Amino acid sequence: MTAAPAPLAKGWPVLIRRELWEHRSLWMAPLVMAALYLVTCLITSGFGQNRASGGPLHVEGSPILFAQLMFTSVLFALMSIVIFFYLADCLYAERKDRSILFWKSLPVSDTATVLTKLAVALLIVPLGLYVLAFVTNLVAFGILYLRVHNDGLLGQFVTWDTTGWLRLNGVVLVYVFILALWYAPVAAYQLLVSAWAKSSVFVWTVLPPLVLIFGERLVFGTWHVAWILRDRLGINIAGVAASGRATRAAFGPRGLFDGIDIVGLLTAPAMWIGVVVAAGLVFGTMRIRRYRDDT
Amino acid sequence: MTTIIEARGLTKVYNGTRALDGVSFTVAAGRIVGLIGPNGAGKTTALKSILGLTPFEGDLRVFGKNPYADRYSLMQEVCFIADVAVLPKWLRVSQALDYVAGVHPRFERARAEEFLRKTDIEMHKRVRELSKGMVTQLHLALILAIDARLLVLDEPTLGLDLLYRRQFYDTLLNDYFDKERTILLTTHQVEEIENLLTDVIFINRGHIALDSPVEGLAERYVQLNVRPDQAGRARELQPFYEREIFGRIAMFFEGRSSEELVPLGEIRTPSIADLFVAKMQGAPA
Repeated sequence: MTAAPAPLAKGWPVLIRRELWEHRSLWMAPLVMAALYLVTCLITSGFGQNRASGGPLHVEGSPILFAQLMFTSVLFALMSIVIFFYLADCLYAERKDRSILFWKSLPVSDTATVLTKLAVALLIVPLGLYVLAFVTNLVAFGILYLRVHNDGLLGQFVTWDTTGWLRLNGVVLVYVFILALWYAPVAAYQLLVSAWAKSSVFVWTVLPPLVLIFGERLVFGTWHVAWILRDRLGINIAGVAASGRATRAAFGPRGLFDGIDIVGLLTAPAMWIGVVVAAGLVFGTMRIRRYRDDT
Repeated sequence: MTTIIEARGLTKVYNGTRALDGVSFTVAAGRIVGLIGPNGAGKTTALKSILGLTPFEGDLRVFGKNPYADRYSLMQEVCFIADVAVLPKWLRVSQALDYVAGVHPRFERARAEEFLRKTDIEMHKRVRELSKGMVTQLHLALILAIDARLLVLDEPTLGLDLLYRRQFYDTLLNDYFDKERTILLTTHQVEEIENLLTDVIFINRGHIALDSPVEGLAERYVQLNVRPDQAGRARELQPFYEREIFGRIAMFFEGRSSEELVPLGEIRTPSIADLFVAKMQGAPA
């Protein structure tokens, strides 16, 4: 009488596509940025000529790799902003326009819905942008090479470094996964707020941490929460370490993954405490989407 | 006959108000049941409970399952249109088809496309670009292409003009309904669905006021139009509701034989709409 529940795997592709249909900035903003970068490569080689005429630039390692790293970093910085807005909106908009009643009329569990949104924010979009950065960097190199390879002075900077290139892309890829784990509790917290807040999602996202920070300061006179959040949001551990290590890995005379302490990051208690917190928050988000009835 | 929905002592309390107060009813396969009641009577609460969208007290089984605990698997058997305006504005028609095709194992895309071809809806349009009537047509196209066994409609034609409303119910009856399928619907516009329904459930202030197959109504209820000079004699037979129409008094009786009433005036079978008004405004049975 009852059909077997549709295997979750069958629905995944369309659940992910649905997120990209609704939140077009997830892919449009990075694409626009990549296009702008390529256009810049096309039109700025002239400026380089003037600059280079002052004498050979002193650049450590490969300037091409440096440019690739810069572009990748800027792309991922843009991504963090776009994903912040995505996470704030993704479980709130469906309640605001009551389309949750349509989504819930289909055999898609709340678990699948919430996990899809988490995966889109932490893996799908970062991996997509990784591929975008990879391709854009290759095209940009091609453009620059064609423009300046006959120029003796500039041509010496536009050289290909296979080892450095592999190392850079390898390190960035590893960081995509490490950062997915590191930021999981942040993303999960945003999902919880998005599923819970009746209005003013952004206020509800920012207010509780601020209350905790200043509450702690007033009551205990300490700043522990502030430090924990600072580290978690990547001003310390994740962001700086990532870009610093990636830079060293790209330019340093070492092996492919020498620059990063993967084992150290993956065995850090803070990493796994964060993952456990994230699991709790995701569970809470599923319960809220499931049991809340405010339509 | 297979029982699709079985409610026993279904109760739902919102902030101290009993939206549903120990309601019991059953819905059998192959029926078209109208759940009819004034605003705030508990209709939508009952539907939400059946769809697993809200927790409840009491016993409620849909296809033998607890809808609140098994919403996910239940939604393979059940379709619903909760409201006319719930398709998200950003969704394109083609995306709506892609999505339902991707997640629903019983969706037959070609059927939805065939239905849409008969309308003015274009595949690349977004929901926000469609008229309210077209949005309902789109939703209906999705629902018709799903081989579900229970369809729940909550005010599916609210805010639509007469043409769309008529078309909606015609399509439902001709293209969707068969003896295997069951439809449960609520609406304010009782007149429009009178001929559609096989069963009616009247609900008022969280209680069931009437639960009957439509064919049984004629035997149970009689409307008598009497001249005022006959009114006294008619009242002795205890009508549960009366009202004046064009100088006559329409009285509504339950459980009285035609033979008793014929000498007093003109008798007829009350329409569901009239019966509803009589039941809601008459003394509580």
